[in-house]
Amino acid sequence: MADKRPDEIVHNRLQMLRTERGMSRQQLADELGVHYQTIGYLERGEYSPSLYLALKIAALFQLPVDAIFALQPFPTLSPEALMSGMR
Amino acid sequence: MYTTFMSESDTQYRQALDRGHQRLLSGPDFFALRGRTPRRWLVLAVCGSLALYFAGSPLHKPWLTLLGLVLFFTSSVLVRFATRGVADLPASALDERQLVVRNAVYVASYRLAGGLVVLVIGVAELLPGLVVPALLASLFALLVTPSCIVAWTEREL
Repeated sequence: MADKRPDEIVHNRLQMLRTERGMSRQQLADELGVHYQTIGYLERGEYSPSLYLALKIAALFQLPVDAIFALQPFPTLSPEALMSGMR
Repeated sequence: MYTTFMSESDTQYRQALDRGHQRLLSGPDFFALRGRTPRRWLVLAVCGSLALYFAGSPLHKPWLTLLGLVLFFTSSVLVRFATRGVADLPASALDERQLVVRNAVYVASYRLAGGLVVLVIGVAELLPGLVVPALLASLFALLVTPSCIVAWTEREL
């Protein structure tokens, strides 16, 4: 239900940030006050959070919102990309 | 490390969960029914039970009506457990994604209700003797329609 338009995809780094901090989906869900399956939907990009939830996620990870959510896909961390970033 | 970030609405969400909704929303009960295939079988069981209930009247077989009713209430309760009660729990117990799902389901249910009204009017015109069973079957169907739509459409529950 509630299918979104294909041009309204919001990309995110939620899974990377969560695993980086050693949190389970349940822990993150408890911190944000949402159901644990909602975290899965967010990570897979199947659900775009409200501004309120996005701001809560940003505050939780102590990062700006646009470091976590973006309209364009985030660049992959391929070795080439890392090397070019180090130069 | 991460910092704790809780607001008033989070507290309300927690309290709602504590009031017995936690078991339905997040508990392991009826886990086997939460896959998409068993959920869809349950929806088909609801539809079949209503068909049995409705067929009891024209066939003059009260046991068929009774069997339909028993199957309907059993399958509709199971559908609600299988869908974690997303369509039935109060808004304060649901998070924002679940509310989006519920609202979309209610819109679909509203449209289906309109279709059922047209169907009952059609039955009243063509088969006047079956108006009451058709009306009752429609009312029973509407009771469980939101949960059935959730059960049929949601990929993961």
